[in-house]
Amino acid sequence: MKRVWICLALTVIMILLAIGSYLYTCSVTIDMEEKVDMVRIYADKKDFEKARLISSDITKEWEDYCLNHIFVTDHEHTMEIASTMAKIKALADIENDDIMAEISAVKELLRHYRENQSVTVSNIF
Amino acid sequence: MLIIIIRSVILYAIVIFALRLMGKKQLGELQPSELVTTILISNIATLSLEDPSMPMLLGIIPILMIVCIDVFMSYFMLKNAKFRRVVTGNPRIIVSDGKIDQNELRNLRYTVDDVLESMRESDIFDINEVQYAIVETTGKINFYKKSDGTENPPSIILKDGILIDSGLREAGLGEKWLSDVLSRKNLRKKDVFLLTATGNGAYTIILKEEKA
Repeated sequence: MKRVWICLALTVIMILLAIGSYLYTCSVTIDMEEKVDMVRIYADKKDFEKARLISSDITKEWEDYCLNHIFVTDHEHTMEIASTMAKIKALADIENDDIMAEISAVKELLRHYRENQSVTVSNIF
Repeated sequence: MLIIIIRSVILYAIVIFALRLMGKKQLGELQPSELVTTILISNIATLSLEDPSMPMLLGIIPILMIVCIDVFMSYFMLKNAKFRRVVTGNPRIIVSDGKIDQNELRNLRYTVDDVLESMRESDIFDINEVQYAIVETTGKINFYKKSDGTENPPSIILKDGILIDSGLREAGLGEKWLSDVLSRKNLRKKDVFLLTATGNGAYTIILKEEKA
């Protein structure tokens, strides 16, 4: 009986950690998307100084997420997002208009990453 | 390199913990679900060790989850005989009163070579010595020799409080006999852990014990 209780506790803990991890991922990615939108707005207005600052923030924030969130399991996807964010920062530094294409790409990657973490039939199978 | 060493130590500890949580069973006597669990655990642990780029949690969580499921399954099998039968199946008699049931052998996909090999492993070299042969749920064949004493081994009449009708029929006894035995001892069916009986009415009762 003791084993059953231990396993029940382990199961509950794992499920709670999984739900918590997913909610945390959702909040980080949604926050990232909003900040990336702000970069787009400033880049549109040719205010590359602010665009550079915000893109620097979101790159750091994403790096922290990847390093500290031990439940990240899709490293390939997170690395791709990190690399695209680094490109955005670099393009903001040189005030290049190609930044818009990279902003669209990273938004799509963030949305895709969030969907990949959700519990859907296609993700399960 | 150091990471691989640390991962190996962690995974080893996790697998040992998982096997301890599952409980003790000899490898040759695993039920199908337990065999599946053991194979899955070893494969998952290997994947995590072979690929350092794979997050360790992708190894640890499935291992723990599979062990938890196995423990829950064992618990439900303990509480529910029907569920136990669905998961583990029933033992099957392939030799009865010295006669081989070839139909049953075909159903089980056992060849006569399998039976002869199991006989030899039990130090039996003549099929005529065999009174009963039973294929257990683990796939092992157990033999009851004609020289082992009574012509027929005792039949199981009550198991964990549940009446085994086939056992009553095998022993040639009826419900009235069972009621008489239980009322003489002032017992109910659910008080009995195990009741076996032979055709001449000799029986053995083991009562259920209080939980510790």
